[in-house]
Amino acid sequence: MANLLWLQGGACSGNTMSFLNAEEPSACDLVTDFGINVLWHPSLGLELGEGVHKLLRDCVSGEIPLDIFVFEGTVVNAPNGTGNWNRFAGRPMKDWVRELSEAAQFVVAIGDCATWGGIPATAPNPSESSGMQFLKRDRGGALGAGFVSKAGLPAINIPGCPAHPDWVTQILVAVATGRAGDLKLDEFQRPATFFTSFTQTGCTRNMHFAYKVSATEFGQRKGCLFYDLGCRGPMTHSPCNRILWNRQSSKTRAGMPCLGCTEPEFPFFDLMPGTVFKTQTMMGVPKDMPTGVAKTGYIKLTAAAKAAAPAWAEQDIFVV
Amino acid sequence: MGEPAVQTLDISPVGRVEGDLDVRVDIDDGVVVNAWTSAELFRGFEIILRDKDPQAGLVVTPRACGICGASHLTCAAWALDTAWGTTVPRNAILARNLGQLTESLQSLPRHHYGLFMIDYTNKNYAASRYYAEAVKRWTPFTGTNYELGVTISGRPVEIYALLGGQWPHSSYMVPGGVMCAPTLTDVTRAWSILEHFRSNWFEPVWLGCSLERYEQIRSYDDFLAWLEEKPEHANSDLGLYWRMSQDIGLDKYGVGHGKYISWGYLPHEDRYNEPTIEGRNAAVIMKSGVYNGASDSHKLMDQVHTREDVTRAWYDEPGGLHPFDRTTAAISNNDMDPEGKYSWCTAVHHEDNGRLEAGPLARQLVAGGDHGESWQHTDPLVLDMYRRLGGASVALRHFARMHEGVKIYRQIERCLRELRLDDEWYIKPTETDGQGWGATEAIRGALCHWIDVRDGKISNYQIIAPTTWNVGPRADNGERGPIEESLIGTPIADPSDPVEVGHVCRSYDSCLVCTVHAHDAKTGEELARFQTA
Amino acid sequence: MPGEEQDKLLIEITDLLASGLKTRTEPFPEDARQFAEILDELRQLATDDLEGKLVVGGFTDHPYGEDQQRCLECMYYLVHRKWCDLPELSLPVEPEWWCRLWRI
Repeated sequence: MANLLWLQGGACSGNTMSFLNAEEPSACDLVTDFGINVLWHPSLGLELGEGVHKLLRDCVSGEIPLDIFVFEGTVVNAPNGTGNWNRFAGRPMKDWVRELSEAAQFVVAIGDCATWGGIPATAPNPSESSGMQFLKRDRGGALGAGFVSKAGLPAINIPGCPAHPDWVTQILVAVATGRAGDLKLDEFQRPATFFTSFTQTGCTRNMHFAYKVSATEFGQRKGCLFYDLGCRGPMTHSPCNRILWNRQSSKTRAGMPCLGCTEPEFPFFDLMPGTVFKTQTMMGVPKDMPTGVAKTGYIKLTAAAKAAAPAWAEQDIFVV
Repeated sequence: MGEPAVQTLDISPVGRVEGDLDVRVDIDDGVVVNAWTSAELFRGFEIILRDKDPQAGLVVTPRACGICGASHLTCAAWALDTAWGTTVPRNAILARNLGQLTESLQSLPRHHYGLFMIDYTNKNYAASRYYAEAVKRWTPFTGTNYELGVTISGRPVEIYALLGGQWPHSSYMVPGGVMCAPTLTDVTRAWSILEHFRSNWFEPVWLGCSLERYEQIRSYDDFLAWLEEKPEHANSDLGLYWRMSQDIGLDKYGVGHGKYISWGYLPHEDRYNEPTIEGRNAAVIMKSGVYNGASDSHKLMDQVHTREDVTRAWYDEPGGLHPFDRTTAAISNNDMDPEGKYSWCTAVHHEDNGRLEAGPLARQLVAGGDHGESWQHTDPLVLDMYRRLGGASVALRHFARMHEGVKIYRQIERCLRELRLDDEWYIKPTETDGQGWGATEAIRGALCHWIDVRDGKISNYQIIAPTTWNVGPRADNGERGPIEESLIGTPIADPSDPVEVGHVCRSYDSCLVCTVHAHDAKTGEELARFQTA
Repeated sequence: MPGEEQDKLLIEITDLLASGLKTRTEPFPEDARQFAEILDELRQLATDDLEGKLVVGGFTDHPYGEDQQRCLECMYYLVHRKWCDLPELSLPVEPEWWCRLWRI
């Protein structure tokens, strides 16, 4: 049994929608089988009789024990630090966020907006948005760099635009079944079990990456998306190709370049002209190398890979 | 001391309407006599997109709404196609339509059980003869059909994932086509998913009959006959929805302006390969239109007639601008002032017809008209019901939403049949400057994007969502927004639990969240605060 | 492209380059933006404008520059088909050639 409160700030509800795609456990299973007691959620409203204001106040005061506080969306600070551009239940959402985080055993920031600021925090960041404990790569955010919740952990960051439902349910089930002690977080407070491997890990285009065969334009039946189409799979930490999306596929499998949405910089290069779906190069060499690879090594590898490339690598492979 | 003549209820937040919506209503003698809807969140996507890469909208706008992301992506892609003058291969048009359709199909059970039917289990309806059954089926999380419906809603977007890699938030539609090149196994997998959806929920639970039987219903009389025909029909979730809605009076309020807009959607795969703004109306399978209930007349809709007023919204711009002329000048002081500015939504209107309601009801009323091209889709049912039942209501509005499901399903089947796997999916366009416009019908209504590309970057990007049409504040001429107007006449049985206000808001499936604070109209003193969810 | 046709085209290009066709080997595109500008220029040409492609692409029939860059290591070179797979070029090429759209 664990009390869960889920609120949305500068949000699109995409993480909620993603969460509702879950099976095993489904959102309903979490309630009926794992004893997650959803105190309130903006779009899964349960009957509340006396009102959300009282509920929120009771959570803050501790009258209702708040085990898990999930926040989706950015913390909006505009205009001028007041937070009035996102009011909720009569006051700026950012004030609720601070008080509820202090009252909760675990604080879970779900999606890029709540973790790093995401799309709303893209320059010029009109809503003065930030994440819970980060703004892009900078520590601090709405709760401050030193924040820890009652259970002794900082905000658990589950990034992604949106986050995959399994990444979220694992945390909820771990807390509900008393295994929260096994949670290991990386330097960006992400669960290490998900965010140590790369998006590329398990990608169906890995052979084309290895033999340096590029998908030079969209809609092709072969080729790696890294070389021309701006794919960030080799530099992005996520299990998108280990735990598939909607039980079926992933963006890179379907032919869409990874946008790096689990990393703090998303959207990369602030979407400046010339940066969308195009690999950024410097004198013919990719500006961003696969993580940990040096330029000289990359050049040598290219020559060796080209020399070793088998004929089939140049033919269509994802054929009808 | 007697009750004050007029009570004001401030509902903030109204739950289960996605986003932050506050509603204020004046109640006189148990009936709503005035209303204000106020959108309480501003993220400034139009401002973020200024001076960015022309394709930035493909990444940013699906994230404007995680519920209608495919719809935003559809608009963003077609807007660039028209700005750049691309050629779009037929496979790509079909693959885009598939994305739009599967997102919409997903939304039917998810919205119906997750957001709408919960209200039917409200204790205010305990006297209804259908109440016990409603509680058994539709109680959140534990109701038999709630659990089934919410869980199965994830299936249709698995087809989206086969094309775009994931739902929500893919960007697989790009100017010139799509990123994917599906194989036979993707198509057969999609068929299997669709079939599962049909045989596990659509037919046995929702309809209580085959899709084919349901498709024979062409008039209100046909519908009533269907309802009587078999217990399976009457006791299906559709049958019970309709009967209980009459029983608790949801056919009696939520009227609105009686004027409707649809942009139309689903460009035909052989008719929009050289997309232009002007050519769209004659190219879409589901036609566009404005339906005027008072004169019972139809005409095509054109984006040139779109105007936005901001006198009552938190922007500092001239009134009556076309979106291409807007600058999105947000103001910092966003105090709620019912006499002045009170929303982040603008007041969108047709330059000749004023405020229009967007949504599935609008789409079905437009589908009943004989305007447009002879080959375009028509369907007389909902228009007949509208005429016979004397206009719109909460019950008819939500019926129209669910009625479209069978048609969406058939269009998905059609796309899967029409794909030619050996043909091309993408034709690389040349990036140029220019103005573009892309539109679609998200499940909750008319959505479109305007883009202006200058010097290789976005100089202006404007979005008008269905919620902008529906939730907007008063226009410069004082005409209320559609939801404001629909709230007028709503009976409030219990001012301490005004579930009726929630019904009206949720029948629009507006994309926003709301709370209720009750005020004494004379003193302004707060009486109570209520969460309607 | 059928093998025979490709062979014929390769000979035609070889002869053009050997005849001293002056191509734009400089400037080398420093970043993705300049790279895209050259692609745009190529897209203005008629699909069968062979000479135009070679000139705008800056082709040489020998390795180029300090690092002796050549098609063999280039991203767009398909080793087994001896083919440049960059859609804007789509030409048969020799492994020891080079052009300024070279990238790895």
